[in-house]
Amino acid sequence: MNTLTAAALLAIPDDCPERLFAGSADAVRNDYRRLAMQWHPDRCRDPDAHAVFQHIRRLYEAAAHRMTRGDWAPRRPLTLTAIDGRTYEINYLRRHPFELGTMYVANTVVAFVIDDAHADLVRRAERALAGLRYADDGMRRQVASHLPTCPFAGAFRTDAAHVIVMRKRPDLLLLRDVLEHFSGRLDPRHAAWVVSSLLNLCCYFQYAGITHNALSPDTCFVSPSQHSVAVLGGWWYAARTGERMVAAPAGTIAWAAHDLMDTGRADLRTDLELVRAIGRELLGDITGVRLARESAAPRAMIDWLRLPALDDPIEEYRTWRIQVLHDSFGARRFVELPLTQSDIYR
Amino acid sequence: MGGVRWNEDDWKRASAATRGKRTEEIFTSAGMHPALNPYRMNRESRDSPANPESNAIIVGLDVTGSMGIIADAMAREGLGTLVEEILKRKPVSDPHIMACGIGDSWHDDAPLQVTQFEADIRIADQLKMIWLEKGGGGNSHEGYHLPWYFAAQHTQIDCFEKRNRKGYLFTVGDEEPPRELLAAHAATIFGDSLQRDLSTRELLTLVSRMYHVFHVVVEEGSHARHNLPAVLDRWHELLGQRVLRLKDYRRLAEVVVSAIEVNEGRDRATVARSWSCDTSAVVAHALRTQPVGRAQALLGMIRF
Repeated sequence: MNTLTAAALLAIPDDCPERLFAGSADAVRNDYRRLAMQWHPDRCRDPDAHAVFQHIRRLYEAAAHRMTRGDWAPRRPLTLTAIDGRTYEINYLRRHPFELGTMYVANTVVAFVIDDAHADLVRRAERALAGLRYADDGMRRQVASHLPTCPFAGAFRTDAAHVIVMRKRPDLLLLRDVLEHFSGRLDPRHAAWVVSSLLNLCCYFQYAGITHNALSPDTCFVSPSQHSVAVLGGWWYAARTGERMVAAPAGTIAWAAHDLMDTGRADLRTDLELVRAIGRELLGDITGVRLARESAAPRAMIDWLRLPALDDPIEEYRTWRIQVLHDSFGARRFVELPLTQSDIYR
Repeated sequence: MGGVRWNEDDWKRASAATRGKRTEEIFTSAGMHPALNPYRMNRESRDSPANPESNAIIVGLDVTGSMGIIADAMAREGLGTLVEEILKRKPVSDPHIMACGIGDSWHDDAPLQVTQFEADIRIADQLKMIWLEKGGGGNSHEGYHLPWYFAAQHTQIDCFEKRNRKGYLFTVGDEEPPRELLAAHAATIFGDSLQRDLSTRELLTLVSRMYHVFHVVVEEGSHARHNLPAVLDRWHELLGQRVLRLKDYRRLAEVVVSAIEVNEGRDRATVARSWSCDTSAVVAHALRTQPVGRAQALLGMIRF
């Protein structure tokens, strides 16, 4: 906790005190006192000290309010009872509600608890992942580590939900959490490797004849040490290319090609548009409107991210790697992103 | 722009001043007014104390050939109806209107003219500054994609930037859309250096991120009268159900207001019935293919 930067602390939403505080009322109070001492404007020289100090105070009050209401239960493991009577326990690091239920991010797994009403979408995810094919072992080695393993690490039903548990390497961090850690804006060089990795995956999607349809910071996990992306969430929206889609999240509708709502057809352009949307969001403005104004990244990168996607992922990837990245950053080099799980998840 | 509110009396005076005048006496420009030239120009629709929750609405009018009648009708009555009915019916709050004059990007001297976003009578003044060039290339399409590009790349609108609410963009004319925007045209018209030519479909994807896009086919236009199936096919192929058929050009404002209402989730038939007899029929004809709004998306997911 003491290592959190001002930006990381300020990025914690007011209504998520559990991201800062944990444990009993005493533990929360002690943590608050320690942080308040550390960030008190009279003691701390950080220019954001005043803002951080006030923010910590707000988060503490939110935690205290929850304790008063009796719904403060951080750090307690998630316990799920399957309909066959077995009990499962997940020590999760962070919990994210999403449109179908709740995602629990843990050290080596990520669990999706999906409301029964969406059982058909759970089956679609299973079918989509089971149907993935690879040209050879080389392709499998290169691609499979970026996708969920199938069969899942666990899958069972509770009284009201379907639970899918996927394996995850500890170095993989939810992109949304990484973005929040950096106050909603990544250095363009780091946004660039995320885009590169996703475009590479889109090339595989074309080979496999599928579309994911829900690429976003809420479904993608990144490894800062390896500069790679794993797409673990959102597979319930996947479809065979050209097939009629069953559903799509609102974010996809907002940023996909205009005709998706009319056709409802799985089209790789959707994934390619979503990759560009992710790139813009990582730079701090998913709309792209402010990027040029604020010179948030090199001009070539901004222009590319704002323009519509082509329908050919290989051409997209080629242009991005050869032209856009070169014009934006010059010769390729690895830029370290010193960020681990312990920096983000306490 | 758009920091002042609409005043009905201002409009009555402006509208009255057009009575008995010929189109040429209302639209007196003999060339593109520098203030309307989109070259290296941006337009802003910003919230203000008078319009705290502004919503950007762009209406692009074909001013080639005989299509100047549309701009003429808007200057006489339509503009007042547009603003006053939006204020009365409130499908969106605090409208900021921008008008465009659409020409031909291959042949015209003024392929696109753009006013500011305005919330008051200044929009009428600027509308009348548009040069009715009456050009067009005889190529079965006009530059309807030019307002799309301008809106996507050169407008900054608070409804979207602050509230994630898309603006509205209507183009109006009687011909088909062009196939592409050439990078060379983007350079000469807007002063932009595009990485490549953009297909009209790509432009639509681009502008749809920030605007709800509709096209109004003027069925009385000479090109549409002789080629209506082809015109409709091309537009439907591009815009799907967001093509509005206008059988009485004097009712453009009512059709635009109604399309916004339906897109915001109101019932299509109820909206059509809310107008007086003749107008009701025109609106019903225009809206018959329009899909209902996307309220489902607010729930976080859409099922097809």
